[in-house]
Amino acid sequence: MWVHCGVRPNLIRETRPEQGPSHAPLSPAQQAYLERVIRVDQAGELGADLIYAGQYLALSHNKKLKPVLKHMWEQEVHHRSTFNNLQVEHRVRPSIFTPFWKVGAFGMGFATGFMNKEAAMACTEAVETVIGKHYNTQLRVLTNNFADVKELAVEKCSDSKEIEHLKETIRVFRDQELEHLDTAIQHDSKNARPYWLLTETIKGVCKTAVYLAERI
Amino acid sequence: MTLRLFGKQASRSLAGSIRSYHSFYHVNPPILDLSTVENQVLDKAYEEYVPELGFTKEAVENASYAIGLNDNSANALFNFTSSSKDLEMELILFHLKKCRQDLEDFRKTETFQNEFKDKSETDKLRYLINKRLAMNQPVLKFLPKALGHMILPTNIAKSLAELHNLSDDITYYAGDKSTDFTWYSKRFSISGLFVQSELFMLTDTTKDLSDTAKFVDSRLQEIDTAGYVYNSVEEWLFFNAVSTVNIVKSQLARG
Repeated sequence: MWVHCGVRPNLIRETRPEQGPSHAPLSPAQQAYLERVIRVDQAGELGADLIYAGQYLALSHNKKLKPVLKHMWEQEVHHRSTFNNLQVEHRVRPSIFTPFWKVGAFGMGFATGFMNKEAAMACTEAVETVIGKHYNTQLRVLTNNFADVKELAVEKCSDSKEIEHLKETIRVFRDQELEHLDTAIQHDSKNARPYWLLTETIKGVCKTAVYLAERI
Repeated sequence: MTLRLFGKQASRSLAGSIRSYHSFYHVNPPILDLSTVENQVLDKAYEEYVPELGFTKEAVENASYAIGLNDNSANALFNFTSSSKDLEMELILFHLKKCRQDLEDFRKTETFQNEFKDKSETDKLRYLINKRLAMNQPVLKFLPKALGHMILPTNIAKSLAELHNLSDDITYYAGDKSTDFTWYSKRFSISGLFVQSELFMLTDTTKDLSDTAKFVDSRLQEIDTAGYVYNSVEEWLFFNAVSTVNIVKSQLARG
């Protein structure tokens, strides 16, 4: 159960060009944006992985809940290793607060799980709401602001395979995060008490973490 | 308004010196862009005048004369385009960047790819660090003065940025896959190791720098051990924390 950080076989691997680059250089702003995207998403998925780890530790004695948590957790592990790979291969600096994210996320997952299962589900609901919106924003920027990159062979602008792959990855992950959101609501997240305080606090924490992990 | 302009300029010069996102399908900007006039002057100076004159203003002025500019135009040129306005520092930075570019070109060669395919990360690190140190040999006698110039308050930020870029390059070429704080500790250790080795190299009297190589080796082993200790302690702590929770849970479940 605890040995889960290895690279998994079902990873969406990025392809590599066979004959060198196919596209003109990205602008400094575009490069900076991609770096930011990969850094914050890696930190986010690390957080998600550890939140579920904490919840699982606190709630795995519940026979009905165990497979649900396990399923969501496994998807997060996959997300995390995908972004870990992107971070390593594109030479992106990971967030300097990584140790802090680890402790914070695991603590949040364990604490809400320790309260009761509704609180754990409210935590999932809050986190996935923020993440879903966050991924949508990234997709919007990747679609709108990367259309001016020329191909090297012909005078035409298009998305390189790299950008396409990143968009596809984010799209798939966003859908899975939103599935988790539905799962959380189906499992009585709205019955958590105090619902408003809990979800809004967690949303605030997530937004602050996103802001910081994008930058440092 | 002045402030904003200043900020923009600063961020532009930073964008040139800090290497960010590495792309596969897009052309990556080279470490050393030899298409600019400044770099052509510096290249000429570095190749032809530095071995004799060292990292000096004269070397740059001679070079700018040699490539057909007025021998005073180097001053004017760098006054407008470099943020340091310091010819000596620009020449030293050129040396640092050129060494990095050579290292990058080298690691793409088949020799490196084949020879080091199955070697460990530490082996690659050792090799690359020694390779980079050997690149100092042609300018070794001017290096103490250059180092002195690099740590002046006005220059230290740029020197450190280059040092960080170098250790980032070396760790990446060696196949580093760290995704958390290890990323930082590795690079800081390599930066420290490199500075220490470079200083050691200045007093090394052996011909083939074998003493420096030994020094690098012992420092790398220390770093390896430190990493091993840290990982073992972390693993032990985590295991015990989880066991404790599980013991508590089993006691509670017994009722």
